[in-house]
Amino acid sequence: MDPYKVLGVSPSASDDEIKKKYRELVKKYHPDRYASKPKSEQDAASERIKTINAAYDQIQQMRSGGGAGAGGQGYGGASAGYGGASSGYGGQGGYGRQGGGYGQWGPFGGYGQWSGYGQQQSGPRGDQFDEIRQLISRGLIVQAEQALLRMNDRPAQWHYLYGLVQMRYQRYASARDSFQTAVNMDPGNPEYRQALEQIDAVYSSNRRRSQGFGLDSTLCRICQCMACFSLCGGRFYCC
Amino acid sequence: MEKKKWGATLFGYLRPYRPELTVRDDELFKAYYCGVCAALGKRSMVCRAMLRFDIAFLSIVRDAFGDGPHQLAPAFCPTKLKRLPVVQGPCMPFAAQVHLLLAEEKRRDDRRDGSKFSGMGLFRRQIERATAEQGELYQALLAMDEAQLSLEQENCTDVDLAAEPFSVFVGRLLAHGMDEERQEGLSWMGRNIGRWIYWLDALDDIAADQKSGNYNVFVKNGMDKQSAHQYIAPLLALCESQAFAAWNTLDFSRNGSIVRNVLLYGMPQAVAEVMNERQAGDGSI
Repeated sequence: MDPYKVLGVSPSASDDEIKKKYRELVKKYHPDRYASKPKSEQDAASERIKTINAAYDQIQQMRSGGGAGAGGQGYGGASAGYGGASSGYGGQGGYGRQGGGYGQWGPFGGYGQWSGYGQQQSGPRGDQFDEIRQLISRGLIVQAEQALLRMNDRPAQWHYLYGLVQMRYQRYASARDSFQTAVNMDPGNPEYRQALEQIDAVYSSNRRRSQGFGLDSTLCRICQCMACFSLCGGRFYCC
Repeated sequence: MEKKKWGATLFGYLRPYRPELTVRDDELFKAYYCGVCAALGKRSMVCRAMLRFDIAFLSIVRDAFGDGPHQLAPAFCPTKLKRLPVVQGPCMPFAAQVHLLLAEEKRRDDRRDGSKFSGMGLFRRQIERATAEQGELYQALLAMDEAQLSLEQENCTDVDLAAEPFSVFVGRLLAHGMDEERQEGLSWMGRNIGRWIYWLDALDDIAADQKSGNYNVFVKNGMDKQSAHQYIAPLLALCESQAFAAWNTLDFSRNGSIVRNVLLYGMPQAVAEVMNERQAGDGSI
């Protein structure tokens, strides 16, 4: 695969030009835009996104001095296991690939509603958040977290994205607190509210089930969604 | 101590909810529990008496990928004084060794909390054998213990961080030695279960720890049992759902209905019992 050809840029293009073109292509083929289209078109867009991501990763690898590869998702990452990270015990997920170790897990990652392309802000800060959403979608959680922590300005969207990162690390308390902060700062934003409500919905369903109401359809949807999430290569489906 | 708290503490939180179990699965769960007990050996009577349902659950999950029917054989039960069917297979000795490793961890924890006597010292030889045979896991256990101690000494108030060492360890337990394609799913499942156990145990021990001054992350945050439950209950539910989601993506060939029962019914039931919302006598084993 010629990654430059895939992105439609010249090999001599600057990093900024490549990044800009990459973002344009991701927006063009984003699954949200194909939600109402026939399945064949959705599948084609999904494949296209994968190719675009692979090409972008390959260019980054080549330009950073590494070989063409799988986009930096080797095992080990930063401080796997106990006491590795300076941010505290088991700071980087403890297992497996860079990116929290579980790129396909959790209901709060991947494309679709939890990346929320419809919610982006315009301008330089919007671009930064856009990039962080991409990192989260691709399972590069360590980089996403580092990018967030580098930001001094922390609006509602920052807290929401930080919550997504914390979910990938199974830091559920921190994630919920972050979602709550995002909702408090921007009460009208449906994306942030939905993230918080998702957690409460799981609790409500569990209680109903354990009180003898059986497996209700809400629980089935949620649990199936979570199972679907991994089967569908990181896309979150709301069944 | 109240009977239900004694039961939860002694036998573990991870157990099926019997009203939702089929008769077959009820018998099978008992056979797994008895299988681990039998695997502990004839000399470890005290050790066998302290076997928890959590360990039986571990053996059920790890044995879910085997081929063919369950291998059942009769074995004499020293408490019921009769022969009972027990499950046999490689998962039984492993679960027995894990029980001994956790017994060792309990002994270290008791000593740290100032207890002069720990019943776990009674079967020292069995523990030493287990730590030798499962060296890698034992090292992981020691690392967990050290990390936990470090957090406690720092008076950690971060609810997530406090649960991390045990969460990682249980993830490792579930995935240890399993086929590579199952590692990630089992690890995710185990980490969520480990986190759940840690939080529920802390919730259960709030009153006792407030009195004794032992470390408890909820006490450190100034919570009583009600406020801690209000805070942690949705996150416990999230752990249950995530564990179930991970389980559903695995290629298990058996024991699916038992595991499903524990994750979907047994775990919420355990939470309710800890909060005294329901009596332990209404169906749980």
